[in-house]
Amino acid sequence: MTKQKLLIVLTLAVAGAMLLVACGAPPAPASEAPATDAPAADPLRAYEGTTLRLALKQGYETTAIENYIQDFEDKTGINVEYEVYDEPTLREKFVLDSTAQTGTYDVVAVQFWYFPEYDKAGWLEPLDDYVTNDSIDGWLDVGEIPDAVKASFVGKEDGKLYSIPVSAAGGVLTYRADVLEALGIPAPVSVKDVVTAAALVKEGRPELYGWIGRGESSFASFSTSAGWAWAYGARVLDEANSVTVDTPEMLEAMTDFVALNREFGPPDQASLGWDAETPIFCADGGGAAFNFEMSGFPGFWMNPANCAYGENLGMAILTGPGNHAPQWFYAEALSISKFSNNKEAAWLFLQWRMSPDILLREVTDGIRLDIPYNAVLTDPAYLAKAEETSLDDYVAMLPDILNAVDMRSWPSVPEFVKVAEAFQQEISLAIAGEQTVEEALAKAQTNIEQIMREAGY
Amino acid sequence: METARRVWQQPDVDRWSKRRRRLEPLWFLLPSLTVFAVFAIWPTIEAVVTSLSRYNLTEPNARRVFIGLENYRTMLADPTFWGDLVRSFQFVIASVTVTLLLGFYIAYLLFNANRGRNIFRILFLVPMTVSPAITALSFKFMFNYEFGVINVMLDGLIGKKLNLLGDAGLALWATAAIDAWIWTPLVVLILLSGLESLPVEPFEAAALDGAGAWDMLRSITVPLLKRFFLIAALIRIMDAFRVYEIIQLTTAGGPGNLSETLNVYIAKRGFSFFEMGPASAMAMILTFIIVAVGTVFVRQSSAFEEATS
Repeated sequence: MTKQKLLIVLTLAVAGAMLLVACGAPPAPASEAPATDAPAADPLRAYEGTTLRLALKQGYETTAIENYIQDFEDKTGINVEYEVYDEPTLREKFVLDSTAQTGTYDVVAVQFWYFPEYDKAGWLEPLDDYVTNDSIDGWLDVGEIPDAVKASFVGKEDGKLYSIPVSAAGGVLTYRADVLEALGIPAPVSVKDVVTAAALVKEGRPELYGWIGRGESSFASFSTSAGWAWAYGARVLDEANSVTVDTPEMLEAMTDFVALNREFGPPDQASLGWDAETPIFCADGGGAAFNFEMSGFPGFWMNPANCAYGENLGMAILTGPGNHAPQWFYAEALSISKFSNNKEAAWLFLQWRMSPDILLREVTDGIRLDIPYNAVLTDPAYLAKAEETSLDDYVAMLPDILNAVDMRSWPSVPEFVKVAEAFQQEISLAIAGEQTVEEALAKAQTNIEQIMREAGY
Repeated sequence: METARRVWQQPDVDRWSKRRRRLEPLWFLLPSLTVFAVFAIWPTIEAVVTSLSRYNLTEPNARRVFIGLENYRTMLADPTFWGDLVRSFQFVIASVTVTLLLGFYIAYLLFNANRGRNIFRILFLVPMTVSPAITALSFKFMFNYEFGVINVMLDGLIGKKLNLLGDAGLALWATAAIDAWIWTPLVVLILLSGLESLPVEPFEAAALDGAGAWDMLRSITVPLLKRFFLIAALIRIMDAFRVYEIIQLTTAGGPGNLSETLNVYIAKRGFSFFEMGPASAMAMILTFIIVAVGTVFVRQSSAFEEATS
């Protein structure tokens, strides 16, 4: 063969190789451990040699996995590979993986607000049969997880449980008890009290903000505004998924809410997200008097090691004109992908993750205290840690916070992201002073109605 | 017979030989062309097809359904699209103008620096080496009204703070300022290399004629640098139209959507709502705009080349 021909052949070979690589099939998922006819002597080691792949979200829910995964691997012989992403990236990864049905991930962290979307698409494995037939003694007991928390991961059509909640939070008001005491302001009991008290704080302590919260224009802030509205009996969608934004109750709710943010919050409240709350609320020499958030935040703030005013903070579960508590529900769970080839091994992992032993280690190692598992909440080690970190008042209140969760307030629809963005965008503009509350609600009503119409409601 | 056959075949052999020689470079380009076809042309074709389809990834058994130009019709009737397009142009004009002016000023200073030129060159490149996402998050905290270092300095200097990210009138310009901060070093590099490539004769002649520094700058330096300005502007315009992380991580497009540009909206529709059809349609329009603007600049640059050659 001449040099020229050889060169041409080599070039074609390289091009062909590149094309094959580009168009090649994705790597085959790790195969299940070989099945045997004889029952495994140790059920923990039934899937020894399997590799599990996890897609997780950044946060304290994942810290425990990162810290203790060796324990699971030693006990089961299962190799675990995990990837940790921020929430939007995690969702993208899971959606793309599920759309392509590649089964790259065996276990995925699911936030409750995306659950209806995944449920409708059929991307998650139902867990009822696993719970009934395949539970390891001493590990996860699903009955110990509060029903209200589990309910947000139950399939709409079949009523089956699809995820195991790992964390849960409810809405709670956190306030500067020392400031209220100094100004002679009683601790708020209702949402209306908060508005009144914020005005008094501004008058009596002008260096403080009366309020700090989430005002930015993204669905991540929706829980604050829409959750606040439930105290007035207002919500974005009713039981029939009709849009109920332009109601008198919502107008009253958002008028108070916008006033709190605009008149008593920082000037850039319309651009503040969760990440700005802590630096402002806990700022030395300043701060804010009131914050309404998910209960995970006061668990951090009330620890004096984390916040200058930790020991001077109080918490309250409010009520409102609608005789409801304002909501700020959040829950994260672990699910098994419908397309996983290692479902049984994945179920073993879920049970280990929510075993009392691991949960208590999270507590004693100072990772978190808001554990949605009843048996842990009454454990002496848990209570001792709470006292050690000055969070005994906080943990005493946690059961009541979760019991106040009312999912009727929440638009549990697959189109949640679009609905929440459409609502919060207009509220953010009202907070920025670019439109009135009436205009904001009118626009939100129109836009959300269009979203629901296009979705076939 | 053999000779006759050879004579009869001679012209074909020559033609084939010439054709083969012409095709030889293509064989060597084949690997690169293949990669380009697979990673650039094919995805573009897919995007065009998707823009003509209804395709939502979160629908059960999602698949593309051809709907013709419906996505484009819906997009053109969407006030959010037009608002974001206008804001895109505002962002581009603001950021590119600042980077060109500031970049030229810094390049000119570096060019005329007698000492420490190399050290300053390296220092001025630092913003470009930091990830835009990290820069955006850093500026988000620096711009914070309460504790941001920018407002702390403003408060100390003029006794006033600016609501940079929460004010509807300032948020978009604040993000443009971040973009300018990141990419000014690129303009500095381009213009500095341009300055260093300029011939000295026109300057010597001007000096002999008694021209001052300002006259030389205005009448000689800037005109001769036109080609480099065009290159820098072209690169910056294309980048500025595609801005995403700076806006998403600082303001999330807010307040409301008043700092949202078209690329941010495309990302929202495509990767938050997973509506691939409308997102692809808007991406096609944005690509067309960028190509159109780029074509104008390339033609300007070519015209300048011809005029000065």
